[in-house]
Amino acid sequence: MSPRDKELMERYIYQVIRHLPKEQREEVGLELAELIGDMLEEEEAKGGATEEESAGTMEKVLTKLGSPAEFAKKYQDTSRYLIGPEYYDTWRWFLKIVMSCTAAVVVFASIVEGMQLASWHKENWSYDGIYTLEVGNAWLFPRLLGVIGSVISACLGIFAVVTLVFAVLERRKVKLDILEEKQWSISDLGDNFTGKKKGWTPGNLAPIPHKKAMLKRSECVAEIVFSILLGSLLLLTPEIFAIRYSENGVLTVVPMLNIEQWHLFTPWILLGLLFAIIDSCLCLAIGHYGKTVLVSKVVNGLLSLLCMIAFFKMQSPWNPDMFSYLKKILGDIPEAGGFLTNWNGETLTNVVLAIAVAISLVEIAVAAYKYLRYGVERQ
Amino acid sequence: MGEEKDLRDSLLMELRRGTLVLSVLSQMGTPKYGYALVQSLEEKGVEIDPNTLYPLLRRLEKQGLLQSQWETGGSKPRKYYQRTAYGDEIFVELKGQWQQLAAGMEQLWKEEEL
Repeated sequence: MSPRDKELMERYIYQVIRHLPKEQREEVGLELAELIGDMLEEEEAKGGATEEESAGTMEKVLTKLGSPAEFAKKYQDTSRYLIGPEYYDTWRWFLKIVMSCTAAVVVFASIVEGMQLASWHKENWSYDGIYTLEVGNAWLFPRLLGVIGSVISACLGIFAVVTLVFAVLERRKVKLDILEEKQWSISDLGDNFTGKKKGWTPGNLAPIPHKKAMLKRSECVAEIVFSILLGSLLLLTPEIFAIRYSENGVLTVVPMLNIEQWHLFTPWILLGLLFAIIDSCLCLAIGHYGKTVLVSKVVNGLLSLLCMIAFFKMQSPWNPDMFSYLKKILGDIPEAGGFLTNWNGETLTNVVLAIAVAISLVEIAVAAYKYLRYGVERQ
Repeated sequence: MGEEKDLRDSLLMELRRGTLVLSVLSQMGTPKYGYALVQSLEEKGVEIDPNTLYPLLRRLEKQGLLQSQWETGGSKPRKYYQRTAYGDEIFVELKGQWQQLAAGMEQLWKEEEL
């Protein structure tokens, strides 16, 4: 072999083995040298033995062998994927759970953080019986965007960590017992066709939920989003709920809520928000009406009601000055007279409570009806 | 057009891949080195690329079906592979399965022609 050919061959071999794990490199290098040597001899035997003709044979041989990267690929019997079929399902399941938990935690942390910020935001307001707006409410939107940003980056981070962990598991071929395949038999199709339940069998297959019993996922998600939005507004910027009145170029904003003592009310809002989100998440996970959904709605309704009673009855959440202010601006209008006498903190509270109770009852009634009429239950 | 060719190539490759291990095992009753195996298979009408065969030999060795030995006697060092006892067992089993499959295939085709 001419020095030039040798050089070419060694370059080729180097390109192949550099992709391989250290232990394999030397041996594979020797193998390749053997192989290329043999192929070279064959080529030289085919063609003439002249110097000019043998000059191109090494190139011919190496071209025949093909791209070193491709060659190296064939030596690598380790998975050419990050997460293989064995782990894929587990990975997805795990990812879903962890990411939703992360998102929920981040949102909650942001809300709590925002509440703390909101308390020193109050210096922007001047108070002389009613709050006069000095700074715009543009504070809320950057805050919301910030929360969304935090959620996204947290979720991306979690995605990376979980995927990394599973990629390592894949390489180590660690046996995952969590969702391990058990013996499938007839009893998996549900209704205890055979008495014994050993792992998954056809007997275990839940009956298909009735079409009309299905819970629309979009509705559950919308519920969650609405709860979070409303909750955020109530917790972070209760001032938003206000009567705005413009007179002589001066904008007066009369908050409807008792801003000064808002910290007394925020725990109840937080709790109510928590219950609502848990209920919606549960409905999202289950996907169809049934006993669990019904129980959840009842429990959520009761707990929310308790929170609301605490919220409204312990102390009036309404801005005490709102009503006197209303009297002031509406006092001139005769028709308003009756309206004003009847409306005060008590009546407003009761109205709101009544509406909330009504909504809860309707939800529970719907859940009960769907369960009883089309009721099916996963085992 | 390119997709058709890709499909054809991939189906063909799948078919060949299935027979590869058996073809190789069948030749390894006696010690052989890589390139000689390539040539002998070619002579018998079984085409195989060296860059497929060499990694395959390694894999089979790792799985315990083949054993290897470096012969440093000759002009250059050579790695010889040969079937292990386990490899013999597997080979016989695979061969039997192949014959069953082939018979089954024959049946299927016969019926088609009818």
